[in-house]
Amino acid sequence: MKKLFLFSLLLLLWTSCQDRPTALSSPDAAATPTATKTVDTLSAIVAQVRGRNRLHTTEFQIHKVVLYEDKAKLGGKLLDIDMPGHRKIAVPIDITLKGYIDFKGFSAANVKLIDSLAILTLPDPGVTVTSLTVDRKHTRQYVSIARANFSDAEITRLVRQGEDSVMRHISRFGIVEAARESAARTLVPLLCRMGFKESNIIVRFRKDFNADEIRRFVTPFKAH
Amino acid sequence: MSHDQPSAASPATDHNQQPLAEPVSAPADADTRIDTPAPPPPKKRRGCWAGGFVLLWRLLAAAVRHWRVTLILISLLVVGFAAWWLTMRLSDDRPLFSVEHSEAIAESPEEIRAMRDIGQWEFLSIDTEELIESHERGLFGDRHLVRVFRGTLRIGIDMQRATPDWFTPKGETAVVRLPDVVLLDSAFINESRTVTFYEEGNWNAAEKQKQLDRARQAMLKRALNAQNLQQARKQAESQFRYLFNSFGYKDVVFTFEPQNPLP
Repeated sequence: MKKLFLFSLLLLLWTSCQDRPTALSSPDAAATPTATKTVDTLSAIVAQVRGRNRLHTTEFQIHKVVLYEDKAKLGGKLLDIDMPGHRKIAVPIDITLKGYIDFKGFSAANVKLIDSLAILTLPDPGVTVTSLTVDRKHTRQYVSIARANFSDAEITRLVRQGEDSVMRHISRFGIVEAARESAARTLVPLLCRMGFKESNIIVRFRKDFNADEIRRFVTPFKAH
Repeated sequence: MSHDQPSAASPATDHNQQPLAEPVSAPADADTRIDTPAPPPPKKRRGCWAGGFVLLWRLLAAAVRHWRVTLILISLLVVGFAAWWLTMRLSDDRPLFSVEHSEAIAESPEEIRAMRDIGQWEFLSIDTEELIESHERGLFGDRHLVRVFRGTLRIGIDMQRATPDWFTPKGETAVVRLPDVVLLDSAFINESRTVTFYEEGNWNAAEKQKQLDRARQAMLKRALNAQNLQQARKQAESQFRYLFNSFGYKDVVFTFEPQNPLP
């Protein structure tokens, strides 16, 4: 009787696993030995196309290791007790920044031709994040047995903080100055081919910028 | 000759105060016999600590003697402190009980791994999203990971691919031979903007990387089509024409050299 009961219980468990909704197959399925069936659906959501006129002149690769320790506690209005155990993570990230000159507002007013002298006044430079990759292979987390592993959403939140930190310190990298110099190096040969001597070409900018102004030049990654 | 004695009505009057009151009524010849007042008896000087101890002892004694009053006062103090503590605690917007986590990351250095000059003229940018789902069914439980990836594909002209004589002036006409428009960045997904819509079970780094690769391929397939490339080409012509017009060229002739659109 006992054996019959155990057999029935196992059979019930097995059938309950089999009755889940069926799913489509995926290439990921082959990667995991325990996988029996996989669902994969690709779905395009939105695409926004915009015309630009930006001359990207310099590119910086920034590396940062985002460090985080989750000091959790039982809190609220009445409690203040630290939770036991530890929960730490180190996430290496690589950010690509590009400095650019936006020629959208560029016009004949920005060009002064005085005899053989060409004076070009360029618009203010800008900085944009073109990509951010998380090195998941080298991401390390150290979590006590009583605590939960870091979820993907949590890691993304920390990565975003890391990106914000890089943006805050952007004036230290000298990317705006590099963008200006590189813009001059790109445009001077063009003017030389137009017949101007290199010594008669002046490329200038509106003004020098301090750290706060430089921070305002950063175009955040498109916030949907 | 009168010699003042303390009156019977005020037997406890201090002996030292008599000479102060007397000169008003004293006759003029009384100054020959002035009694010097007796010095006051020396007071016992207690130390500061001893005085405090005595005071405390008396207070304690009084508290014990009137123990009911003491008990009531202590109770009032305890109730008042509890009320103040509760008011302070309950005045903010936090819930009564909660699990709180530290939010901010630690300070860590940022390292410039590489910097280079580029000459990329961006004429079209495409902001796009891609929903990637992975579901796995196993004997010991199912796993699900649904993420939305976001990226911006920039299409334009890489001037580093242009030949040295890409621009030739011919009178008032500029003859421009440009490399064709291409995708300017091979990496265009910003993972900090990825939204993890649903996650169940553990997913390793390789599996997450596979999802990222699939999102990248899907975005490329959708964004890098003939229509967008043509639109970027038109935008390039329009913007370069405007630029050369600013330098005084009335006409601009364009030629695009074929390129692989992928970087």
